[in-house]
Amino acid sequence: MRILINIFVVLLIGLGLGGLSANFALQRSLQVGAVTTGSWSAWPFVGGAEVDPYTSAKATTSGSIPLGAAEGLAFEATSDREGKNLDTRCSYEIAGSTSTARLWTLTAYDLDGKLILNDGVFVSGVYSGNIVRFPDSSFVVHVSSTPKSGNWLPIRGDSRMKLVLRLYDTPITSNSGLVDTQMPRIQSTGCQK
Amino acid sequence: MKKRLIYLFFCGLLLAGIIHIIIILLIPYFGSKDAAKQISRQLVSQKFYYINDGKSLGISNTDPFLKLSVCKFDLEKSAIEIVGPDTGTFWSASVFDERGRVIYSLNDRTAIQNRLKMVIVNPIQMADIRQLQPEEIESSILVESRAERGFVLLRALVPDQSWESQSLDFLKRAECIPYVTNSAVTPEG
Repeated sequence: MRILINIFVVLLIGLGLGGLSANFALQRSLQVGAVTTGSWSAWPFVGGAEVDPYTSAKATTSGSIPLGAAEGLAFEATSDREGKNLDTRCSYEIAGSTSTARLWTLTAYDLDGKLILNDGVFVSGVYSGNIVRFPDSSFVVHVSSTPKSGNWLPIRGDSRMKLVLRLYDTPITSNSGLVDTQMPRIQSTGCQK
Repeated sequence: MKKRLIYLFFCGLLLAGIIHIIIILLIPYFGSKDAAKQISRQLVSQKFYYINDGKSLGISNTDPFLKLSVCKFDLEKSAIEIVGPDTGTFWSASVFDERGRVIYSLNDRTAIQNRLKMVIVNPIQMADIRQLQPEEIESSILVESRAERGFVLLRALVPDQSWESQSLDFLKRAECIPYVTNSAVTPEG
């Protein structure tokens, strides 16, 4: 009887902790295999043959199709520069400039990978060719549920979100880190209670 | 009693570690949300499918500014040729194996004369082509794939509706056809 209880306890701890930790590792998108700049992380090897098991598992569970090296690189952010989780109830300013790329898009998704708004009128995204910039080519994008002048990325709802900045045709993917990756800052500008 | 509990806890921890590793390693094989798996399962090979919305194929995190077209291939049946019409918009293409790993990728500026013209072959077909050196291959990018099955994904930029006709035209007119070398007409044959 005692041996059965022992086995049961070990199994309970093993299955429970093992399952939870695996789930946690995938949910928190651990920085394994990531290239990080500020709040932004990219997984340049996600589509390659040398992909690590965590990145591979994460790609499978997210249902996304990676960009090839000649196509570009996607950077993800789930927190602002202070480390707080991004939330659709808050407003953010994304300011600065990006690394060299032929074009880029900035989009907002919920944690399931669905665009927050995409109803034909509003799209939770901005495209580098359609934004206004400062004379030094830096920019500010306002992420907010209320309309803003300048560059506005509309969001809605009351859940966590992630921002994805995709650089298309960028030299970052084809060099060995000789070009500094430069990414804009994510600054919170207040939340609705 | 206390010793026994600590002992049990460490056994549990060890098992937890093993289970953690097993889960992480097995997810790519058994995950059902896998976009690559959905493509392999739902599509017929050697034909481009225009994807307006990734939802139907379980593709998430799609970029709203880029539209997709996907073609499944099976090199055991035949080598495959991908040809796209001339276009002024940004496009890119990636060749994936069955598990969704990138074998090769290119964009409009890295392509020969900015045109999408690509032949995907397995090592045996590659050897055939090397031997025959067909003329039409000179203007194509030859991609050797060790994976027999996989898919090609085209992306074209549609930043707003004014670009739609051009980009959609590119995606919808792109061809994914079996490639056969003209071995019959070579003098050696």
